Amino acid sequence: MRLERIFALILVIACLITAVGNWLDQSPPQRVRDNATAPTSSGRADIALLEVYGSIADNLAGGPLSNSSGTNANDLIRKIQRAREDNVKAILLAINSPGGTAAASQAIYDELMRVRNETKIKIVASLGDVAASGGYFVASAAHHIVANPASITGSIGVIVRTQNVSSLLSKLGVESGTIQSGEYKDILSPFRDTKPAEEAILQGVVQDSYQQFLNSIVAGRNISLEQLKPLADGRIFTGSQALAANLVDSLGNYHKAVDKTAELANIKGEPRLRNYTSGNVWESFFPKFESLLPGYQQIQQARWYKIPLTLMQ
Amino acid sequence: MLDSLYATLFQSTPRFSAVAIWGAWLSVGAVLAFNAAAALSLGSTGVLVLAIAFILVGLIGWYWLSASVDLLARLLGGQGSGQSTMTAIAQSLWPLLLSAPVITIKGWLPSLGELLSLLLTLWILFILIRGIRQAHNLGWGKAVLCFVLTIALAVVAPLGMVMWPFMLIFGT
Repeated sequence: MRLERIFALILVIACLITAVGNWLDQSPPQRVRDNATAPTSSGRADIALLEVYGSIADNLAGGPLSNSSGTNANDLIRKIQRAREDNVKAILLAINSPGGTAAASQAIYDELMRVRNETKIKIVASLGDVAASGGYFVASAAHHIVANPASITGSIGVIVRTQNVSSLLSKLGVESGTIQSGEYKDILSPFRDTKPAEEAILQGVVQDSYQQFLNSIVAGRNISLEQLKPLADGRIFTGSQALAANLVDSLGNYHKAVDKTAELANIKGEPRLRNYTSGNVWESFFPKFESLLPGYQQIQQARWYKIPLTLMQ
Repeated sequence: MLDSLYATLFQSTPRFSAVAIWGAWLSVGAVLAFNAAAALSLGSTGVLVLAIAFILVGLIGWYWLSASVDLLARLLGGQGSGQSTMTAIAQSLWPLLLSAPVITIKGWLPSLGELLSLLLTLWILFILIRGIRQAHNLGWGKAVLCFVLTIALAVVAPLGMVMWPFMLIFGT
């Protein structure tokens, strides 16, 4: 093969690899005032938008074929790290979550606090419909929380649900039993009543998780434990009530949160915002196949309603 | 195909063949599909659909542009054939391969990226006009005029597409 051909072949391959790399590196940032789906000129983003939607859990890593409708903690942590590597000036958390598991919420919180403590990156949380329990746990890592007056927030607490279906099973003639290595291996078994000793263990778990939750909020926000405890009995607040209770810092919508983020990060002019989480325009044009099936929307809504405002169940 | 790429980018007398045209079409279509998918945050399905769309719809654009350039070049005294015009248009695609590295550079150094983007556009225009000139044996001025008129016609073409049915429906 002649040298010219080798050079041309290398050029074609290099350009194709670069194009794939650009694609894997996702979209260029967008001007905030532009239409949310319109791509703009590339360059570094000022603000990294991170969406915390649905229930928060520590699922398997999401991917193009992932069917998870909630927030994957590991995935979000990677996005936070990527925003940090990209040297963004601020992170904007758009939260619309009724909560999730304690560990997943805490993992996201810890990563945000690490960014907050180790860099100059400003973090602002914008609360949507709901930012309760684990959703608020994540928000408490922000320098500033903006809520709509009618946003539902709070629900600071931990819950473990138990249930006993043994009487139902006995009516059906079903008997269940266990063979276990230790006394508490079948703790939370739905086939019998919870024993007092088990209740004590579960209460200890709940109390410890609760204390960690409180400590995190105290560390993230300008509020003392004494001020927080009366508010942290699991009650929910509207955005306005939360402002009066010092659980949020200001009232406003998403755009006000963007302005506040730009102000805190000292961004002059119009900030360039990049969505590090979803930003999948394609799905807005071509919905998932299953969404075309009858009853899909009802099932999706039911999934949301089913999620209780709990940190852990 | 590789000879054609090298000759188009680095030599003044490009060589082209049917294989080269299809090679250019497919490789440039793939690169542009990945670029567009990155800009629109699309997944792998998006890349695939865009690549197919770019390649197929691009063929229609190639035909239209070639037809328009060929007619205007002939009106300006050109002596080339339709086939040579289509080849000239196709060869101007090759530099679009470099749009991928330019986008990458834009991400790192925006001002340098913008400059390279401008240079790439000028290079594509140069290769296109040079192709028209060689295909029709025109002077540089006429080749540039041919290209400018083609673009101007492309801008107002939708008006004609609307007006013709309008005239036929309401005027007869």
